Amino acid sequence: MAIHRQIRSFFFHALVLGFGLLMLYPVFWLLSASVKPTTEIFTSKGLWPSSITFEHYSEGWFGLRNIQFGRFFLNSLILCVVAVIGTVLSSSMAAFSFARINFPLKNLFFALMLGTIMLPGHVTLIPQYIMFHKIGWVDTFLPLMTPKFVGDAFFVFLIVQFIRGIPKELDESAKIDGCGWFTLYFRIIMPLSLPALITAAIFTFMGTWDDFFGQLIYLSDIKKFTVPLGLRLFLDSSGSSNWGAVFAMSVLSIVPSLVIFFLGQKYFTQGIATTGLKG
Amino acid sequence: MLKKKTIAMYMLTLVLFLAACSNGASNEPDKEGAASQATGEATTDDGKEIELRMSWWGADERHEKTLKVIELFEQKNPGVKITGEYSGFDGYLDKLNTQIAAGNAPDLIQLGGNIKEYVDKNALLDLTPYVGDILHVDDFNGGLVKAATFNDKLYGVTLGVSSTTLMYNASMFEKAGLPVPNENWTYDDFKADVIQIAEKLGKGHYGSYDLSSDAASLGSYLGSVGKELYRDGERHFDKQEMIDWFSMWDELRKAGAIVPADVQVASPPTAVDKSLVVKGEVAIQSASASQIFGFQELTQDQLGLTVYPNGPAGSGMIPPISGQFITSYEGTKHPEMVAKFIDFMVNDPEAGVILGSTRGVPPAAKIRDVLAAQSTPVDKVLYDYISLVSNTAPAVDYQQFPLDNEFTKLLQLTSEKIAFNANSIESSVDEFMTETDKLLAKAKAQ
Repeated sequence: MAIHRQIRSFFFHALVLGFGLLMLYPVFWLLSASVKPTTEIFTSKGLWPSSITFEHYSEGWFGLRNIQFGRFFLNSLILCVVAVIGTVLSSSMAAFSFARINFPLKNLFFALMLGTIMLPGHVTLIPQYIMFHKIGWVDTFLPLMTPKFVGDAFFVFLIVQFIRGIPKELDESAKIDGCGWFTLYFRIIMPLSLPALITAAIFTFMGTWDDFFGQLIYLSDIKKFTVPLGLRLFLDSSGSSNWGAVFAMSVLSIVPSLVIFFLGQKYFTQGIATTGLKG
Repeated sequence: MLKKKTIAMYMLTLVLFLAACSNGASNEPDKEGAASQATGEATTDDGKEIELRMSWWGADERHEKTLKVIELFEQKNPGVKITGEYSGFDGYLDKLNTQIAAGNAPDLIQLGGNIKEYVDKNALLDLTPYVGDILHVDDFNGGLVKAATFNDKLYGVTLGVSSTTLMYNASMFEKAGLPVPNENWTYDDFKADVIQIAEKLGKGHYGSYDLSSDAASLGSYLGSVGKELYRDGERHFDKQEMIDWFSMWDELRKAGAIVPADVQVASPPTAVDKSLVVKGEVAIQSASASQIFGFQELTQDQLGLTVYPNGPAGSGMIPPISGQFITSYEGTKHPEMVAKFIDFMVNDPEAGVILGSTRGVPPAAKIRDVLAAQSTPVDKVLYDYISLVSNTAPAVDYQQFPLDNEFTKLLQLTSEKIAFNANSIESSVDEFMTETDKLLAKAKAQ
């Protein structure tokens, strides 16, 4: 029996491992392409390069005129940090009021807020651009940062679901001890919804880090470029592209997302499991 | 009591938010103010700063060279500042469309074959008033000027010339023990070469891509048998030519000499990272001549360019066409400076040397002469080729098939039906002819 179970577990693990490696293949391919000589990238079939070169990395990092790739990383990072702070702060406040405070037309507002999730981004794109152009914010980070401070419907919903799972008795005992709404929000509910907040933070970080279109539309000056825009500088669909540099910089651009994900992984899975949402 | 405190807290956070927002906002009007001030000064003509924006797409080589030309122009024209807004092609047009909708498009815009679309939107500046005086195009091939002229108004200036042609992998010809094709080769030579390469190099190697679906290849074939794809609202070929065309490819397909349909769909020749010519598995494909830079960079095999084979009526080559244009936004505040810069980009020898062939072969003959003297091996392949076509291509005024996209799709569909054995050549061609006539009728009705 024990042996039987061991064999089963062996096969199970082998299967899972094999499947995992299969899913990782594109990543390995990317890694290998980033250290191959340019002429080999698309011609050699194997993953193992005939000779390892790091010139793509230095080419990608230092190769652009007037600017280093590090600047794009810095810009992306600033944008992401502000976006995360903005989203977590505003969404959690909105979520708290929807979950715990009774006010007139609450359900209507909640439904309206959910409705904005259904609205495709393309519909609002041009009006939004015109608005930001009139204010004079085009080619600054503001059109990308400010909206994060007025909440994101999806994360409000996620956090509302989570807060609803926290026992109301906690609120009541806190109120009896003399707690006001703000203290209740800040001292009681927020620490307890940490997993949901971290989930929102990670999603926002990754979403902002990988966002290409919004950043493309609003940023024009190369000094304000972010990583996704920087990567496209090497690519020209109609002519020559510096593939080596693209792959090398792509490898580097994955790193921050990976680090953030692994740091918050514990909370991340908890946050998703307890709100009953699928990532 | 408690309630009051809470409200106070809310107020406080609200104030903080507003402060954060307004802080950002107050920075911006300054910048805007400065910009409008600058333009105000420029219009007073007292030699102060003129600020222009220029957008283009490309890869880093093009960015670097274009920026160098901008710097050179700024040096020669003190008081002018040109800001480059550059990116890859992904999203380039989306961004441009958004900017045009908001009235915030750059003064100088690089466009491709879609220039007409923007002329129709009234987004581009009519450059005619500046021609001859500031902007010189008399040195250009007339067809190139015509390509950007709509309703007798010039909307753009060609930045580079290219031509759809055959690109071949010379190393594969060598391995098969064959001489590389020259400008005198015929369709019989082509067939013989293709079959031999496939035979000698063995399984997984093919002499050519299946070009029966390629509109440019078809156009040149029709020219070589004394017909034409299109002229003045009519097609100038018949069913028999189409049957001959598809039969020739079918014969090669059955001989295993050209890429089978399923492989061609998976590795289309148009994408440089998928092309089997780069991988040394297919010897011939059709390509835009200037693409050879991108292709050559990715392989150690030697690549070359040649004209389409000759037929009974000689060469059917299509003369060089314009790849990219520089245009100006209709709302620019400094049209004269814009025209001056455009002229600088295409006619100044120094600028020409810096730009090289980053956007195709330069349209001005005098710049080409300067460049030919100092070219790299790949450059030389391209220049030699462009001179070759200019010499061999018959002096026809080539007319683009109207509804070009739909025609290309129709041709592709017909070719795939035959290649996948879904339909006989005879009935596929019947269908093709009916659909082509429908397209022509539709184009006339427009």
